[in-house]
Amino acid sequence: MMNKSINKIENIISIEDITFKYQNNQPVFRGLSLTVNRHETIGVVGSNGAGKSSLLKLMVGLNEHEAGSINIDGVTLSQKTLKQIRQNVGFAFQDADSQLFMTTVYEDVAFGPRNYGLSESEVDEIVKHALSSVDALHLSSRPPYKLSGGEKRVVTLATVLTMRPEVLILDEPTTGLDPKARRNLMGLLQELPQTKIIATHDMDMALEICDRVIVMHQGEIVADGQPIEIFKNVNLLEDCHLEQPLSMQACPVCLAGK
Amino acid sequence: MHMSDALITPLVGGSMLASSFGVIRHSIKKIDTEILEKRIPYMGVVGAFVFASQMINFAIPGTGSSGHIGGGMLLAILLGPHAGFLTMGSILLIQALFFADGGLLAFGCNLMNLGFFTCYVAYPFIYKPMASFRNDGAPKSKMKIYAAAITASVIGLQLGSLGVVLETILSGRSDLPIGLFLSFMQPIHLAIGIVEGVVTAAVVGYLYERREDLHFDFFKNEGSVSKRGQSPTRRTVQVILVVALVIGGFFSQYASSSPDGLEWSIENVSAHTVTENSTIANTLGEIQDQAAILPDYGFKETVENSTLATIGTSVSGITGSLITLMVVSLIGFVFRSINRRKVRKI
Amino acid sequence: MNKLINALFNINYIEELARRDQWLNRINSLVKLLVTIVYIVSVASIGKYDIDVLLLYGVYPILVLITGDLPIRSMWQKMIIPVFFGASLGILNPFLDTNVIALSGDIVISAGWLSFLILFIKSMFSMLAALLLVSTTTIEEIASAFSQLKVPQIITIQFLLMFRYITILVGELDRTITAYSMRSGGQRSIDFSAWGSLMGQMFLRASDRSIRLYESMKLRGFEGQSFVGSSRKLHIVDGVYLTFWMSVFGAFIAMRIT
Repeated sequence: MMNKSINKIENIISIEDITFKYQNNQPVFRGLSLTVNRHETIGVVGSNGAGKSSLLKLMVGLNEHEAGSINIDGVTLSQKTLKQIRQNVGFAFQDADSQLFMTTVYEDVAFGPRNYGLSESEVDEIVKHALSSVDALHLSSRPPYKLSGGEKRVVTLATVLTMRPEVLILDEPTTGLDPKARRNLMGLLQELPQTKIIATHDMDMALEICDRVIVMHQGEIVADGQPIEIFKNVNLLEDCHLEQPLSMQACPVCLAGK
Repeated sequence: MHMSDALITPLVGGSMLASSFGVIRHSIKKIDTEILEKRIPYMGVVGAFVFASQMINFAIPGTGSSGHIGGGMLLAILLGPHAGFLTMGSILLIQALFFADGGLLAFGCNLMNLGFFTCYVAYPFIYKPMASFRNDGAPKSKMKIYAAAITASVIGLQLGSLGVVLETILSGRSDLPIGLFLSFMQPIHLAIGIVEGVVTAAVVGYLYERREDLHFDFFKNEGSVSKRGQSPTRRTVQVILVVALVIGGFFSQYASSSPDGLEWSIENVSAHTVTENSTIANTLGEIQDQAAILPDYGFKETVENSTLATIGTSVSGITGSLITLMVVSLIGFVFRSINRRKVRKI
Repeated sequence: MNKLINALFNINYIEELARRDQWLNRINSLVKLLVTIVYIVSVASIGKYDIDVLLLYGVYPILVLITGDLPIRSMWQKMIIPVFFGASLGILNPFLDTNVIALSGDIVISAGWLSFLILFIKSMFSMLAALLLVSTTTIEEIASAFSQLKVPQIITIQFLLMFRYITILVGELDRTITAYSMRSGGQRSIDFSAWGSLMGQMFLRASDRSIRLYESMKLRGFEGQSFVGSSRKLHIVDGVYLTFWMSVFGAFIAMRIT
């Protein structure tokens, strides 16, 4: 009994045996399971269509699973608990322009807190705190079209940090960023204490900042383990239409694994 | 064409604003609030889409020129009449504020001319019955869509253009006699309506072929299946009659009284002489005789009456005003330079 | 002429003016909106031939333009064509209104030309008033003023979102048309055969985007409630500004009656 309760605290995300189909009835997931420990940073890799985005969306109820259960921080995902779960999970889309839809950065970051009925002074405090934590306070009154790609991603992070979630889910956060912005974002992500689930094609980032890497292929989790071990397995990567991180490709030790 | 504030009086502008607010209230009530939070972002993005498409040059085959769309029909089809009307309002507001295309006082006029006649007249009573949809919401044939879209656009724009004419005439700022006015407005808007109809039909046709890609099944919007019972043509005629009566009745109240609502200065204005015999007047008169196509339809009597009554200008008055403006400008420049120096000090 | 980029540039330029920290920009937005409306209605009410009174009304746009430190030349450049179009329906007045007005002494002027001149000036003043409003008030402040006027939030929210996405969609459309023109010998007019597909694809992209936007908003707690922030608090200077202009306009009306 005691073991179970400890497990409950440690497993912040617990996905058990879920089945999920798209509207055209093509099954995407059949009996998929996954557990995530608190404060872990998980990289989810896979080729396009492998199911990364679908999995992430399932966790916040944007897709509805048909069977099985999803449990986040002690709360089971259902229509009734959607709001509660979404307050506890910060979800950042790949397309920053879908996330930044207000007319200034401040308004965008304030959007969430305002929806939860907080007073203007409370909202102001939260916004300033969220922007400071990503080093973007100086962007507060900028309109989003005046932000660079990197700045947009950083502000997007701020928008999802406002309700102090325990979990962050990020869909391709480094796509399209220049090296400096990418480096900056990676540094930020490493500093944030939340449990992080990051879907990405950026194998080098996964190698560098993730505690664990999950490989998905055709709706299934085909590998789950430490990044270096996963990325050494060249055959596995090839089968899943993936490549090793660039930093490993020139390394003779890693190549010896072939 | 968007009406500007210069050409209308507060009375006409105000009445149309009141009417449009009434329709807006109606639209809000009618919008399916069940999935309001889904509709609002959709309205926002589709509104931006229609706004952007107004700037596309559509090359008209055969001619060397290109046409543009207003978007009323497209909005009605993509969003349904209620959301379409509201979105048209937002588009017109942005155009009025940022592009000086349409005035703020004239906002009601423009919304009624470009939004009401398309979303609430042409769409439900011409487009939907003619396009004839199946029970599952899909249109029956591409030809029917084309015919429906073109007819609806043409009629919608004809009504809108008529609205412009009536609102302008009633305001009395322009001297265009109604006959002449109509004789160029209606044909122009006929051509515009045809282009808009064809573009609309082309888009709807394209989307119809790609139905499986659609997430929002707009074909099912607001009950697009035409009602059984009365034949569509008869219903259409009935409605057009009612609309014509309403328009006629509404405007006739105002046609008899003075078009200048706030012109209580008529009695108080000091009299000035008006001469009609001068070389200028004769030459202009000759030109007018040639230009006026339907002189008997003109409102010339009204023009002459108001000319006699409202002359309050004098050279001294004009000079005084210009001097005032210059003094005010000077004060403004002084203020501005003080302000700039203050900012630089900081 | 690239209408799209001009439109974008126009909106962004005006918004940038509105975001400056100027005394005029700091005036409460509802006050500025009311003054603008009263001004426009007053100008519209001026009689067909009352040019002396009309000229006096120039006081408002002149003072605001100058003291608000607005770029007079570029604003005039923006306005000149719309002002002509605004008065265009009166262009035949000189030919249709054959009456002649005798000003003091021997000076006579054709009533038609006078009324057309007045139309031109009215057009200029009322368009300027609107442009001055948006050049000194950010769009969110305008939306906030609407909210205070009890404009239903479905309208204000949709208005704000649309404003934001115009920037994105116009930019996308410009790229699409540029790509089209590069494949069609440089012409930017869309050929008849592409009318449906160009617009159709643009709509589908917009529709997809609206879904992402909806999901993004939903994840941050949006359930249809208003998220328009409150405008700046009222200060004494707002009262002074309002009183000043209302008195000036009131004085003009009194002058017209006597």
